[in-house]
Amino acid sequence: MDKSFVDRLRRAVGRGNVLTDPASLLVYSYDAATDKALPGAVVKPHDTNEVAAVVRLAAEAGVPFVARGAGTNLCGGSIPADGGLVIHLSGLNRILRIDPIGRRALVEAGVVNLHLQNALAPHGLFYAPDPASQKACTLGGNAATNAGGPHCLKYGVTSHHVLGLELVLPDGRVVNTSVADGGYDLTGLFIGSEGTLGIITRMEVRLLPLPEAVQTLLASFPSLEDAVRAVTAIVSAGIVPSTLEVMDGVTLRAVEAFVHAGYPVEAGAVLLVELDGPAARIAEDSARVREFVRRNRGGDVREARDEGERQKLWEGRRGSYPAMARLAPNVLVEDGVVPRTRLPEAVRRIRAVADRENLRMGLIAHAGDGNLHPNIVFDERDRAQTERVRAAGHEMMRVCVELGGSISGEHGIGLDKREAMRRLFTPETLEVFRALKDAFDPRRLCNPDKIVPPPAAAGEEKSEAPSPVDLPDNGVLSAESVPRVRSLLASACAAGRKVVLCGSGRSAGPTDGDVLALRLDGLTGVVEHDRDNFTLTVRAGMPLKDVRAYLTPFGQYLHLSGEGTLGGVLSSCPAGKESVRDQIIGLKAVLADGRLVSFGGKVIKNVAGYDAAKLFIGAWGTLGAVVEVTLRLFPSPALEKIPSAPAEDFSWMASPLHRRVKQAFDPAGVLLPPPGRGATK
Amino acid sequence: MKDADKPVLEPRWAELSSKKDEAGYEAALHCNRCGFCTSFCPTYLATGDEGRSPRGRNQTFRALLEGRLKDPVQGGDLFDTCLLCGICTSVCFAEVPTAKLMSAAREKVMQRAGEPWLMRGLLRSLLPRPRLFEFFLQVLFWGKRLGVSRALNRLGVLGLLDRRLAAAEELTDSVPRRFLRDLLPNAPPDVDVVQFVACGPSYAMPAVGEATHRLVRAAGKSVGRVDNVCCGLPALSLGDSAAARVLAEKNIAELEKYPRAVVLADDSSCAATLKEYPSLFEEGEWRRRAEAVSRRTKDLSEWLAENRPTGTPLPPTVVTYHDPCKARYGQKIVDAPRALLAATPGVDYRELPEADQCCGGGGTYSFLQPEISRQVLSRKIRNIESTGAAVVLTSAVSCLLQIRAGLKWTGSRVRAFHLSEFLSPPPASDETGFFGPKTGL
Repeated sequence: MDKSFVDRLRRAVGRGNVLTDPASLLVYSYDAATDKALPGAVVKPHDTNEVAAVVRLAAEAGVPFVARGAGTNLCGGSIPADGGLVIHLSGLNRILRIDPIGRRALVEAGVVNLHLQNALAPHGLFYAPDPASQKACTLGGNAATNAGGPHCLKYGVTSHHVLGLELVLPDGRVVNTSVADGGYDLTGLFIGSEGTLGIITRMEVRLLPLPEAVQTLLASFPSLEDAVRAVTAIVSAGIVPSTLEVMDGVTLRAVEAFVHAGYPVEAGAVLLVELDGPAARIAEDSARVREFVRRNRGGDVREARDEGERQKLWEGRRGSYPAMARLAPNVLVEDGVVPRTRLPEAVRRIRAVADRENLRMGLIAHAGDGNLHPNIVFDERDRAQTERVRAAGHEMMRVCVELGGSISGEHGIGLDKREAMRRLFTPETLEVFRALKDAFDPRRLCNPDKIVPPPAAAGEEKSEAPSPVDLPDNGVLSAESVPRVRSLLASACAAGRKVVLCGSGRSAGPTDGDVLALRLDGLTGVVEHDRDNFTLTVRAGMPLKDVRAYLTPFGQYLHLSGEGTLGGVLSSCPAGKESVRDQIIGLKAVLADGRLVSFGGKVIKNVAGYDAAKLFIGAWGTLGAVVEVTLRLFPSPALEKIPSAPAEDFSWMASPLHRRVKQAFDPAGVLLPPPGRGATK
Repeated sequence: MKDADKPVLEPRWAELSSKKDEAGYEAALHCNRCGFCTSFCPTYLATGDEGRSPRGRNQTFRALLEGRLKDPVQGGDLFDTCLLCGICTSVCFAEVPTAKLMSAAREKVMQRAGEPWLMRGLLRSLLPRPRLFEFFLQVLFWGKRLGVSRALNRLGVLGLLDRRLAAAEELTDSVPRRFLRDLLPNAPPDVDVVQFVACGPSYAMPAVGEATHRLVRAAGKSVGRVDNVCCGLPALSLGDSAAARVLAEKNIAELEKYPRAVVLADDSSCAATLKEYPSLFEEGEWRRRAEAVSRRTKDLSEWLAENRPTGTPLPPTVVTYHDPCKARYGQKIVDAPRALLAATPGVDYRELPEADQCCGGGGTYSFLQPEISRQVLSRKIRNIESTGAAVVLTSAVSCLLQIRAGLKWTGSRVRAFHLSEFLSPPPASDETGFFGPKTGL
C-alpha cells in the first residue's frame, strides 16, 4: 500500500490506529465464512468524523474499503475481496443515549448487541433482534445484514427496529436518514445493503418493554418433519409465540455434549417454543401449543422452571452452530428460507442432497419464519470434500428458490451467494440493483464485489420487450394487464413523454399539457393466498376495502388504513410510512422504460438483494408502477386505530439522496408525482 | 480487475514434523472463526483489535505453522499480549485451548529470536535454586525499601531503561523482610496437609501464607511447608517449557515425600499449575508421577469449602469476590468460594459484575504489557466499586497486587484481601504480616 497514503491515514486517525504489519493484515483477512483476502491496511477510527476522513482519503486515492464490525459474517460479506482498507468499527462502541420514556436508544455502530441488551435490562426494556451471535456481533453489522434471530417470529427483523441511521457515504459525506422522513425509504434501503452503499456509523433503535412473563417449552419429536408440522399447526391456529425453533437429532446431540442442557438425545428432533406476554394469555396459548405437539406425534414437553433452566435451553439453541464445529474443523452454515408450509418438503429435499453427497449435516430452523440453517461439517484440508460441500450448499438454495423461498433469510449474500442471486432475480431486477449501487458508489470502492453478481458474460436472457402502442396527446389512460402497463410506459418513455401514475385516479387531478395519467385500478384480483403461511399476493389496483372483504371470512387481517387502491395506499401512505413498511414483503413493478422488476418474495424473512420494495412505499409513483404486492397477514385486526399522517410536501424530491434513487429507477425522469404536489422536475 | 489480481488467500496446510506441533495445529484448526470469543476476551475489550482477540491469535498461530507468516517474531505482539486467562476456551464450543497455543507460540518466537539472557538466567538458573533466588530478591528489596527504585523511577531512569521496570516499581507497594520459607515450620512426614510455598505469598505477602497456616491448624489438621521450588508457571507463560519441566520434576520428587498428604496451594496460580503437571510430560513414568501429585492438589478455596473455618464471627461486612483466572478457568472453581463466603457469619456477599473477567494482573503481564494491563484493570476496579462492597477478596497474589494497585491509583476506599487473611483467626502474638488485618478485617 502506497506509503504516502498510509501516512495520510495515520494523520487522520492516529499512528497506532493504522495497522500494516503482516500479522495484523492476516487477522483482518477473514470473517466467519470460508473465503479470505488480505487487506492493504487496517484502520481503526473512533468516531464518525474519523470514519468520514478515512473514507474521503480512500475515495481520493481510489482505494477500495470495507467496513467491519465483529467479523461474525457467515457469507464473506466483510472480507476485503479487492484488497484496500478494512475499516474496523470496534472503536465506535458508545451507547450514546437511552430514552426509557420514548423507548429508543442512540448507539454507535460498533456496540456489541449483547452490551446494549445488558444496558437496557435495568430499564425493563430490550432490543428485539437477537441473532445467535449476539454475544459478539455488532449493531452496525446487524443493520448492514438486516439480521434476524430466534425472536423475530413475533418481533420482526432489524429493519423493523431501526428508526434512523447516520451514514458515511462512499464519497465521505455524512448523512442522516429517518424512517419518519418523507420520500423514499432510504433507511430501509441501507439496512441489509451489507455496507455496499455506505458505512453505518450511528443508529437510533426502537426499544420494547420486557414482557410481563415468559414461558419456555422444549418438546421432543420422533422426526424433524413432525416437529415442523407442529409448527405449521401452531402458527396456522393464530398463536404467535416469540420463538419456534427446531433442531434435528444430529444437532441436538452435538449441543448436548457441550451444554448439558438436558436435551433428549434420543429424539429425532426438538422444538423450542417461547411464549411471552400477559401470564393469563400464556397459560391459554401454552395449553394449545401442547395439544398441537401431541397431535403431531410429539413426546415429552419440558417447561423451564426458572431463568437458569431457560438460559440453558437457549444456550443449547444458540450454540447449535459452534457445537457442530466440535465435530470437524469446519462448518458451512447455509441460510435458506421457504414459505413455512413448504418446510417439510424443504427439509426432505435438503437432507436428500446431503445424503447423496455423503455429507454430515445438522439441520436447525427458525421454523416459525420458514428459515432453515443446514450446518454441514467438513475439513477444508480435503479439497474434494470442500467442493462437494459448496456445491451441496448451492443445491440446497436452489431447492429453497424452487419452493418459492429465498437464498438468505438473515445472513446475507456477501461473496458466497452472489452467483445464486441469478436464480432468484431476473436480469432486469439485477440491473436495478447495479444501478442503485452505481447511484451511491459510482466508483465501486465501497465493499465492492458483494451482493450483486456482475452481468453474465454470455449475455442475459431478458423478457420480451413490450410492444409499442400509440399514445394520445393527453388525458387519462388505463391498463388492465401488466403487458399493457409495460407497453404504455415503454412507449411514453420512448416518446419522451411524462406520466403521472394513479390508482383510481382520485389523486391524479387534471394533468398539464401533454402529461399523461395512467390509472392502474384495472389490475385487480387475488393472485395467491397462502392461508397457512399468512401471506397474500394481490394485484395492486385492487381497492383496499375489497382486499379486506376478501380476507375477513378467513379470520385474517391487514394492518393498513386508507382509501382507494392497495397500490395507491402503498404509494401515498396516508397513515405514514411506518404503518406500511413492515407489511410489504414483496412487490412487482413496471419501471418507466417498461421493464418488469420484482423485489422481495413470498417469505417473511428475506435479505437477498437490496430491500428495494421499501423504496416504493410513499414514493407517489415516481419510481415505477406497482402492479402486484405480497402482503403479510395477521391473525387479528390492528389493535389501535392507525392515525393519519400529516399531508406531506414534496421537497424531498429535490434532495441529493432521493435524486440518486430516482436516477437508478427512472433516469429519463418519465414519472412525475401527482400534479400540484411538488416540483415536477 | 481480473480475478487473478485479487488478494484472495488460497488455502494452504501445514506440514509438520513434531508431535507437539501437530497437536497444536489440530487444535488451532478447530477454530471455526465464529468470533463468539472476541467480546469476552479482556484484551479485545480493551483494544478492539482483532489481533488482540483469541480468534486472531489462533489464526496467527495457524498461519505460522502453515508458513503464511514467514517469521514467528511477526506474530510476537499478538502472542505476548494474551493474558492466558482462558476465558475464551470456556466460551468456545470447540474448546480451542488458546492459552496453551499461545505458550507454544511464544516458544516458537523464542526459538527464533533467542531467549533474552536475563529471562533465561532467571528461569533456568535462579528459579530452581530458591535460596540463591531469595538472596537476589533481598538485595533488590533493600533497594526498594531504601527508596532507591522509587527515586530512580521519579527521575525517569527506570522508564528510560525500560518502561516495564517503571511499571514493576509502581506495582510493588512494599516488600517483606522475611520470606515464607523462614516463617513456616517444615512438614513432618505424617502430616495431613502440606503447604506449597507459593512465590506470590512468599515474596510479596508472607502474611497470606501465615494466615493459611493458621486456618489449616484451626480446622484441626496438622500442617507444614514443603521445600518446593517455583511451580514453573512463569516459565510456561513465557514459553520455556523445558525450564518448567525441570521445576516440575523437582517439586514432584519433593511432594512424593508426603504421599498421603493433601497438597495445599494458597495461590490459585500455583494450584492450577500443579494440577496441570501431567500435561508437561509425554506418556511414561514422569507423567504417572505427575498425575499422582496432581490428584492430591487442592486450591485453597476448594479446601476451605470442604473444611469450613470456625471461629469468632466477623463484624458485618459487605464482601465481593474476584475469581483468579487460574481458579476459574485453570481449575474450573466457581462455586466453592461463593458457597464458603455465603456461609460465613457476618459476610454480606455481593456478586461482582463481570466476575468472569481477568483483572489484567497475569503474573508478569502487569509489567510486561502495562498499557493493556491497566485498561483491563480500570474495568475491574469500576466493577468492584459498583458492588458497594467494603472488601474484595481473591485467592491469587498476582490478582491481589494488581487490584490493590488499581484501588490505590483510583483513591478507592475498598480494601482487597486474600481469602486466608480475611478468614483466618488472628495470630497469637501481635505480630502480623505486612498487610494483615489485625481483627480479620
